[in-house]
Amino acid sequence: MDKLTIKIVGPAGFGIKVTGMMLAKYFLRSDCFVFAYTEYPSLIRGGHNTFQVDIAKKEINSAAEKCNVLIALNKDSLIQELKNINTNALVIYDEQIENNFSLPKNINLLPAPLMEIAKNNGGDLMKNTVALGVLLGALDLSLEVLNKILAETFGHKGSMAEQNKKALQTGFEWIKNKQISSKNIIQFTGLINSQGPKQDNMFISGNQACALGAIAADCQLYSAYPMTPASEILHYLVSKQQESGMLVHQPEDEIAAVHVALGASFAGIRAACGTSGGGFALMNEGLSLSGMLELPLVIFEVMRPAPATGLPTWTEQGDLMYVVHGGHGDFPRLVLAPGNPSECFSLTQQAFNLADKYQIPAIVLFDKFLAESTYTVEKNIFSKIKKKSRGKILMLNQKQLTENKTLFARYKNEKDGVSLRPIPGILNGEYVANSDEHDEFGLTNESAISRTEQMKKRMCKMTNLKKEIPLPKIYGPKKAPVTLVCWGSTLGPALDAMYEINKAKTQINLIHFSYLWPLPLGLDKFLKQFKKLILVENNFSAQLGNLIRQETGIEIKDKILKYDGRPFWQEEIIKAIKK
Amino acid sequence: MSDSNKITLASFNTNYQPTWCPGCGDFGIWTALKMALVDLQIPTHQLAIVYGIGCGGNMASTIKCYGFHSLHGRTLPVALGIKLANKNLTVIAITGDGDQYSEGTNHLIHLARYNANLTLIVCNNQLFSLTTGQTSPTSDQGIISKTTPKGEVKQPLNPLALSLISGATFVARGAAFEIQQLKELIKKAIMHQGFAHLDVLQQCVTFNKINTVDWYKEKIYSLEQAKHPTSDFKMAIEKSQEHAKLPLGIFYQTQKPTYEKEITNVPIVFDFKKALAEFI
Repeated sequence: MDKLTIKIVGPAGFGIKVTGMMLAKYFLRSDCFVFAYTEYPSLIRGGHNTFQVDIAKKEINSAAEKCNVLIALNKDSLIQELKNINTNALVIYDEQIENNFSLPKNINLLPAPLMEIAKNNGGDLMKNTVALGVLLGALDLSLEVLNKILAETFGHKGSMAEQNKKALQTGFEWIKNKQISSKNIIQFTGLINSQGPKQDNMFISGNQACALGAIAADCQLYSAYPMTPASEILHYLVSKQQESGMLVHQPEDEIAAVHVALGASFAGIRAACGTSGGGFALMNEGLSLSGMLELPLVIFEVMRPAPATGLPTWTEQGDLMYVVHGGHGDFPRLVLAPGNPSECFSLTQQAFNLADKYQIPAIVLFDKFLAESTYTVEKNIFSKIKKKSRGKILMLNQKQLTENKTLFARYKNEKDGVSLRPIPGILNGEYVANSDEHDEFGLTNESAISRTEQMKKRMCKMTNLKKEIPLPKIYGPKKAPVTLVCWGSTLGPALDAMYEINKAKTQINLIHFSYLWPLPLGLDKFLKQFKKLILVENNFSAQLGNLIRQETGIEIKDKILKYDGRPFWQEEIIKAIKK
Repeated sequence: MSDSNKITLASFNTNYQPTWCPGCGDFGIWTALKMALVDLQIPTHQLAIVYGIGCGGNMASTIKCYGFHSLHGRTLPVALGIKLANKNLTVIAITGDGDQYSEGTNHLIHLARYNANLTLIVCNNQLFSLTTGQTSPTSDQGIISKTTPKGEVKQPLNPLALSLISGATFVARGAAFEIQQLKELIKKAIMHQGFAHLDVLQQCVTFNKINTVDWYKEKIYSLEQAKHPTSDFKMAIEKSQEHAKLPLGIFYQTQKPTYEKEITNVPIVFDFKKALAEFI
């Protein structure tokens, strides 16, 4: 077996995420590639929560549909998950759970005294750690690495670390004494390298990677109203504000969030705000204002299924058309959609650079699946920080401006549409950033000539921006009979599906869009080189397909679409392609 | 300071003439504001004024400074962003009653409780005027307007009481036609370290035929002359409830830490290596 999927399930408040993360780190430090995916309902206590850890010897970019090992912390969760397990799966659960449910064939039940051991080692909250001990024992793995992770996780909580360590040890010893080994059940050899990792990898979520990208870009103000699944960006940036010096502001609503960021941008610092689709709806007037004032602005839009409140803790790629078209009026903008945490990190920096260069809003668009899943990435990529380029801006310590009779010509009609932006505090740089249509000084001007000139000035930036947008990235062989077309987070499952299919003779390839607006020049010619295109999108109406058709006239008729709030499983992409 | 650097009324000229109706109260507010800025000798490049949308907001093109003509209701969050980014700037927000007390009420309440060092001046003519005369949240009950042909039935909002209970540290009222007094109030508001809310009663000569200058003049009196204790919160609340007579001056002033100082961290070099170690 070159892959293993372990799923921990139970009600909220049982420490499922903490346990899952420890398990994932254990395998990361044992030279494996790990992918962690979590599902949870919108509540604080109870419900059915899952944390799935997919482990492989080589690159893994998505979650599997079914697991090989299930750890169930209560009966409800156990029953719900029995449909999602593979043949011969190992199921660890508390022995106190009455076995009166119908079981699928060929599964290996392992009832264990989880609650009993937990109660003797600090209380029933230790149940999850006991289960970890049982699991490691059953898989014939050692405790050493996990003990270290336990200490790191609970070290600051005093006696918690010791209690967890004991709970882990007792669970481990229980199964060793029972002399039950899963060796015959799960072929598990070769996955673990007890010598530790050879690769220099780390384990990070899309949200965390975007937050790090903002710090790397020297963003100095982040304002965000809490909204799942974007809140983790806010949490991470708050936790690092002492070191980064970033001002992190939680405003009264998303309308304020975007306008605080715009005020800060006007005053000369890099600023961003973040939200999900519903919050982005409130930010729309601010987006339009950014277009009119030609103020750089970065917005993180982390999608969840809509319309309205939708499915707050689930995933979808349903806001592409909205972010491309949202905001009243015509104005230039940039939309980037990273496909994995590495791209989250680099494209966030790119968003700040291009927003500054063209003095436009830039939206970094991704979804819950990428935001809250944790990926194995090369640490190297995160050590490379892009050069910051602030474009035509005049900062306080830079050269002086000559005296003006009245105001500075901030909106001078330059050939490239981008004019010099002095920041408040600079002598002789005074101007009006005017939401009314204005002349080159920013003074209100309703004349047809001025309006036409300023519209052309703003919109010509789009022509220049388009020239520096790269073509979509091709993964797999250059030529293939079938080509998958995807954007954003569907890269992961589509890539894993491609690798799986390409193990056989038939070879497919994949193109991935991470620059969504404007679409690159020469896209039609690029797309025409492929024999058969199949769209893979996590939404109802194939929004990328529509955008491609709008911009190139090319209609991609074959589509694999999913809009049930869940991400794609590679298995279903493979199945759909074979059809 | 050499004479050439001296700030005069002319320093604020933009060559753009105001578009207000002759006799509009905004002229008085505009003049008092510039006089206050001259008295305080605030250089045009150290000054950021954020304007809302409405007749008052149309002041945007008429004062030389770093101006930001924002959207309806959104002046305060923009002003906060500017202040957070650069604490050395004098930041003033100019809005109207329709603007600030209707669409921007939420921001008013919260900015009052954040207590950032900003000055809010509200041109309150008890009407939406730029949209040709509809009732606003401060219109009196019974007022007949384009949107209330049978008379306004909604109760008016009490903006000063709202600010007081929301935690504003400087709450005052002036009048567009009492220019000297207004100038002094604007100066005090600007010098106040914290969120200063200055409501300015003004006439609308075109659409408001009831709340005229004469109407106001019969009702106003000076809080200073009445020896109102500005540090007494309960008295301030009481004064804010007066309707038959309209007190002008500072209702309440106190000192609290400012938001921008409280949330600012002195940046140290961000250690990426250390941050990345958490993900292994």
